[in-house]
Amino acid sequence: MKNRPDSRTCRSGALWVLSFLAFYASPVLSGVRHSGDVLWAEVSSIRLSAITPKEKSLALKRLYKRSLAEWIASLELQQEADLRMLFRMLKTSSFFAQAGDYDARSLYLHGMRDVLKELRRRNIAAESEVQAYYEALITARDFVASAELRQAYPKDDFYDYRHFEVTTAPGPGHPMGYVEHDGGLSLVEPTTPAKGAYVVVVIGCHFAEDAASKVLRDAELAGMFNKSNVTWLISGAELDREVLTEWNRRFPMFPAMIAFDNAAWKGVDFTASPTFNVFRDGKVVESISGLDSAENVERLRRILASHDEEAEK
Amino acid sequence: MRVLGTTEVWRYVTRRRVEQSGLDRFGNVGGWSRRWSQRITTEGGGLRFCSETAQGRCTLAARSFKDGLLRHGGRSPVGIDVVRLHPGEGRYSDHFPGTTPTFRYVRHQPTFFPGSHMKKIILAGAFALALSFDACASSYQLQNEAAASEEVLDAISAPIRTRAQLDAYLAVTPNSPIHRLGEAKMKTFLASLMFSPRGLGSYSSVELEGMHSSEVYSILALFGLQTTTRAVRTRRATTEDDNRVERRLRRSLPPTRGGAACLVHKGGSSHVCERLEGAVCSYLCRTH
Repeated sequence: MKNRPDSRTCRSGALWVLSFLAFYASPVLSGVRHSGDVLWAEVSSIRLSAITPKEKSLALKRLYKRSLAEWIASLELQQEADLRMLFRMLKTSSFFAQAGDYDARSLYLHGMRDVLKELRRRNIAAESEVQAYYEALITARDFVASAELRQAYPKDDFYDYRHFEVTTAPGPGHPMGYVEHDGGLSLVEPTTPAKGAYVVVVIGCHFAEDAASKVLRDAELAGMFNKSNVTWLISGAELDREVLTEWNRRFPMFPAMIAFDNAAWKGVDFTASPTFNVFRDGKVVESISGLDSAENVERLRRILASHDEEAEK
Repeated sequence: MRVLGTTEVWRYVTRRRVEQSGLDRFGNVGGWSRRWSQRITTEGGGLRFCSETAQGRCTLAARSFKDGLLRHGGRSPVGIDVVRLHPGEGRYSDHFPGTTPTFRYVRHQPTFFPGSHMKKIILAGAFALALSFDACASSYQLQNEAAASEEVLDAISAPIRTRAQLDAYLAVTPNSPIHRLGEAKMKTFLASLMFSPRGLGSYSSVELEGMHSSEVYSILALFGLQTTTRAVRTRRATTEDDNRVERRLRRSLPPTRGGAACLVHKGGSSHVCERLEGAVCSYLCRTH
């Protein structure tokens, strides 16, 4: 005759089964509940890794294709926490796409739009998420969609980026930039020749200011900059107009512009500031990041001098 | 006799002077934006606002409290470079002709710590400022720190300025404000920290999102960057401590330089700001 298991054994068995379910089966039972955390950990790891911003953007695109795209296709099934996590990941990916993976920008933007739409359908869209999508639209210069978003959320207090709005956007592949004009911003084409040499300096931080001051203090280098065709350029991801105003106030001899679309500035490295991109006949031939070291200063001096000699010939 | 601290000086200026001169909703003062990290200093007896982005150049804001009106635009704008904390730089002037306004740019005296020449200068400035108070404020006496901006005081009193100091602090402080982040966020937050010779050059604000204002403030205070708490957009303010922090933040400057990490390479090869989502590049991201 078999002994009836005592209550302790029963409890123990039940706990074991529950533990098993909790550990192994809960992701299955609750869809992708835990995948958000795992994926975010991966995004976070890429974000802070020691690779270049461009490599980060490519790694994030691989992640998008591998996991996020499928996830976006089933938004209605996702839990709120996962939707927010997904939106956050798309925001990160969108940011790094501005560093060189320009084709992927629309992927992330559409993803953000769809996630926000789902959040709104559930009436749980946070103001910070709406604002993040709004800024992504402004950075992408999609002024129609940004105006629609403002209308869709009339109670939200959007940052005022309307000075970036233009009635006619330049065609793709035409590098253009915003300059200060008559108290506002206007779009102009840079004076970059199709033939010959020119320099595009990516600026936008204190080290760039230090570099410009250094050029000014060096009479020979300043003379070379005056003779050369130089464009001082701020990334299109910069939405703070004051950055441009402050630069122009400090360096009126080096007036700057904000790129309308980074992608149109072919060959320009927007990932680090300051970066001196030297072009010849429309193609980048040298790129120098940072101007602190004597070595970089001499390198820049040598390049500009050789261009001067060529121009004189 | 009531002693007026730096905070109160700022409040006084904000209430009595700046608002009268027209402070718009973006914080612009007479066309000069507060977004550019103005700092208060009292060199020469006047009250000056210094621009961090202008490498610590100071424009004369008000000759004295008696003057009242804010004046900027280079009227003999000689001042202390209050954001340069790094000692031993000596002193020199730099003059850029043709710019508007015209600056004279003065670096720090060799040291900026108690007992140094700088302290005497600050004391002298504070004394001169005290003398220039009008009848309404003549009973006030400024403490030493009133001569410098809040941010500078925050920075010089920061307990952590290097990675080694951070490691030592975490090792002996298991209940530090940073530990409140939780293991995972703490790990990524610590990984994001970039130190310059001046202190914490940049940090990631992503891990701080959603925390209480007072928690964010106490974490950043370890590095002297508590006024950049505003860079964390989603903060919770439910306690009295949170409200106190928020009140202080209303007086601080709006954050700038978002989305960039401060990369200071050893050996002086090339220092750059690199694009990094969620990073905040601080005013301590300097090499000298």
